[in-house]
Amino acid sequence: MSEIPNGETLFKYVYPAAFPDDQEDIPISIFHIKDLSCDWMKYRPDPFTSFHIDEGKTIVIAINVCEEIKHPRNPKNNGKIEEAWQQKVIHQPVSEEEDPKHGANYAHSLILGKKKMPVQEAIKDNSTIYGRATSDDKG
Amino acid sequence: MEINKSEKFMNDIFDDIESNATMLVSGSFFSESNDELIATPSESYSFFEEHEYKSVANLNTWCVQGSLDEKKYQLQHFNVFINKRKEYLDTLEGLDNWISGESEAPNRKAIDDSKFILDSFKNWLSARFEIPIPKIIMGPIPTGGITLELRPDKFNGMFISIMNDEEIEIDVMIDDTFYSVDKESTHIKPYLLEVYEHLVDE
Repeated sequence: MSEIPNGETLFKYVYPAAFPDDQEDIPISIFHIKDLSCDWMKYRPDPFTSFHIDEGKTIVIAINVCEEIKHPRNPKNNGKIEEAWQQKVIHQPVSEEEDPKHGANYAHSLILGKKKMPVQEAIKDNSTIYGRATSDDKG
Repeated sequence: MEINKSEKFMNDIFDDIESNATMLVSGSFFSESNDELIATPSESYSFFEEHEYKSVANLNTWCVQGSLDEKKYQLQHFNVFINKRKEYLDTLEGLDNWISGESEAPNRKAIDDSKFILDSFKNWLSARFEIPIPKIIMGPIPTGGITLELRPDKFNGMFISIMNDEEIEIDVMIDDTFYSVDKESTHIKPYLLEVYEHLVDE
């Protein structure tokens, strides 16, 4: 387990029907979870090779790891870093024993910490839709 | 530290909630009287007569203030938009394995509460031509539930998270600063529209 440095990219996978089909924005709701599971681009340069794509989660969201996510600041507190909002971004590979159904995932990573709304907003502000898998992609 | 206008407004709201808490009915967030949230339109407008109806407007953009006729046109589209979003919400029930990591589908109660809020805002906005229509973004929560984002612009918004366990979290962003209502959220119900009105007044 190691901390992922700023400037790195993490991938999240979403089933298309989870979003309204004409909604362009990423909903903040998808970041509302204490252990936010992702894949680190360093070890999965092509996110479309993930088993999640095979399972139909074909929208790939890229999260840019940065200080704004790790140490969100609170304007109400003179812009100081809010301790309760801090996140740890760590590399935590999954072994085959831990996930016999999908097998080992060395790219697996986590954004750990309570996701109060300002934290969700910070993650959203640093996220983009990386792409959508097509029938040409693995799956 | 100097308290700004927004902070004072939110403090007043919270004080009001505290002082009225014992008088208000606790329990389900929306199963009691909904009078505070539902408004009757003060002006009627035809769905198809005044403007040629083409398709659902692109409501992915920030709200635009315009003339009365433009507002009526926007409201027509907004009504269609809300109906489409309610149809979308119904499709979320039973949506398993929808995101990498933990992945729970919203339950029926969370969906129905979300639809109720959308309808309430739609009806309320129909009666308030001076209030800009917000951009509305929504999606499911991985641990179960739905969040509705009502954003008049990038720096202001109201976020309503309806969890499967019936807990409601409400956050308000005013000028990029968040105010969280994380206790006794049940009691903010009568204030929701007042809070939104403050957002767009800023």
